[in-house]
Amino acid sequence: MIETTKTGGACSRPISGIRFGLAASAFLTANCLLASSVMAADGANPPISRQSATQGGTTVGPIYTPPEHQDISGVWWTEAYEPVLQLVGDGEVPYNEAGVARYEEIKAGVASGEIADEARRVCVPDGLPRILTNPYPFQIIQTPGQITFIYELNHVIRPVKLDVPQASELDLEIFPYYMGHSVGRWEGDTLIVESAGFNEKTWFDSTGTPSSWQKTTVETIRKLDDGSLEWTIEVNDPMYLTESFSASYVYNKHDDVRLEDYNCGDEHRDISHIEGVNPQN
Amino acid sequence: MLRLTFRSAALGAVAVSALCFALVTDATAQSSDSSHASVPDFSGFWSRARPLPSTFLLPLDENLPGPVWDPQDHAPGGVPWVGDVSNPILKLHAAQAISQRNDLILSGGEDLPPHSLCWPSGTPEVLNLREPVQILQDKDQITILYQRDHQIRRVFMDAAHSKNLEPSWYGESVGHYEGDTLVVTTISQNNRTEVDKFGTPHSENMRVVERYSLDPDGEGMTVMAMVEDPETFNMAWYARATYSRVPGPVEEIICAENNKNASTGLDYAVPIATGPADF
Repeated sequence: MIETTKTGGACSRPISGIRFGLAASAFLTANCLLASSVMAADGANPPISRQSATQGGTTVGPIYTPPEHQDISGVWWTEAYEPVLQLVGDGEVPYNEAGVARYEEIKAGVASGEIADEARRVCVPDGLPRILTNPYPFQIIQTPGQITFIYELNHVIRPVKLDVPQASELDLEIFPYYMGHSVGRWEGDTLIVESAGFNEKTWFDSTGTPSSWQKTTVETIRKLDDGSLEWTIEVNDPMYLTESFSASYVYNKHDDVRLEDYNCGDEHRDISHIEGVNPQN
Repeated sequence: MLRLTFRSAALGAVAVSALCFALVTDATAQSSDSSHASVPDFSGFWSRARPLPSTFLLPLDENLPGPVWDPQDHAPGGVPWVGDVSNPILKLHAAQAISQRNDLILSGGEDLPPHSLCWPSGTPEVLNLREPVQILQDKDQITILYQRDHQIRRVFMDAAHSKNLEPSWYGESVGHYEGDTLVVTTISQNNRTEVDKFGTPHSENMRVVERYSLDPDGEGMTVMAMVEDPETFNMAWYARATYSRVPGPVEEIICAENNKNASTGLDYAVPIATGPADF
């Protein structure tokens, strides 16, 4: 089925300096509404639109080709792994009293053996921002209306629906995910991903830094001139933090790499060349 | 000052509409490239929503060897499902494996196929998972996301198989289109999975060719799988799976988090990282 031409972004910009009769205004409004092309959202489960408002490129049947400045597809890999979260501007995670108490609880539990790093023990997802530093490759797949991040580590899938509202607060609360629920949009060459509805089972990093169900994140992703991918995350958590914090990552493209099956306890690919990887055996 | 007649207003409207479509400094307009033929559209969310629980359907052609099957009548709450070990596709050791599984079930024991312990299903058994899947269809790769424990299959389009493959859970899949049919060939799966719900084993030399086709209305999809494994089966056999479109999404439900026996509340074993982390 041939898709019809749609615009991106024009409707958000007021067109000033030109005056119209009523007929002209109505015609313009109708065309702009058509152009925004986001289908009516069912609050619980907004459908995926083939023609996302902010995403350019061409679609032939199911095959989507992004424009060069929005093409972040492929296999990406960090050069360095940081077991301790590195904040933009340095410093410690800005925990409030409740956050500090929970952190102490976790550290004590790990020391006594009552609490384990479940992401490493039984390979449940790392959560955010922790997964962003992981030393295994990941893949970005761009299809109409959705961008999907697939991490080799623990076979984590993050679907990001484009140009639809976030799920309702009720849905986020009753069905929290390790990786949260994500929606996204393009602003020019930058992909913005907003996530909410996280469970409380993940850590910010390997030291056990806790997060609450109130955590929300905003990721800003864009290709740099040298072809690498710059990825920044802002983390908010009113229950545990006094203020938000940010962390930033850079990934290189690896066209020669295919993601592999990854299951807990299996032998995995060699990651010894990734800076900061320090196998504990 | 411009005097707006109806005609100039209409012309202005056309001009501004053109401007509206053309003013795309921050995003190129999506458009359709009608110079290339479209491939069949398998993208979207699907689920095995047919009445038979987690088993293959027989091939429509009765002359084709079919999968291990349970020919008994299964009213709800009736006799347990056991595999027919007289199926001529089965080499002796395969028939024996199924027979042992049958004995276990008939004596009231618990059937614990690999995917119930949070291991991957492998192909073709993955076709029997009933939870939703999402097919992401790219030019170079088709990716199938399974809601069951977020399993992932990657099909490399118009590619040759690699040499010297190490067996892995889902092996290596390559695909191409034949008209409106998507053909996926998978080799080099490890032997830790079963090909069906009856405990039928397979070797690392198994080769599976799946043919995906859409129903005429586009709302259903049929997969015909051909399975060859000279170590396990006397001949190639054929199995069918049918999917319906569903709204999605593919939810995040992590098997290892809470893998309990629904009746006893006791934990099942899950895959565990043995030894310290590798990073």
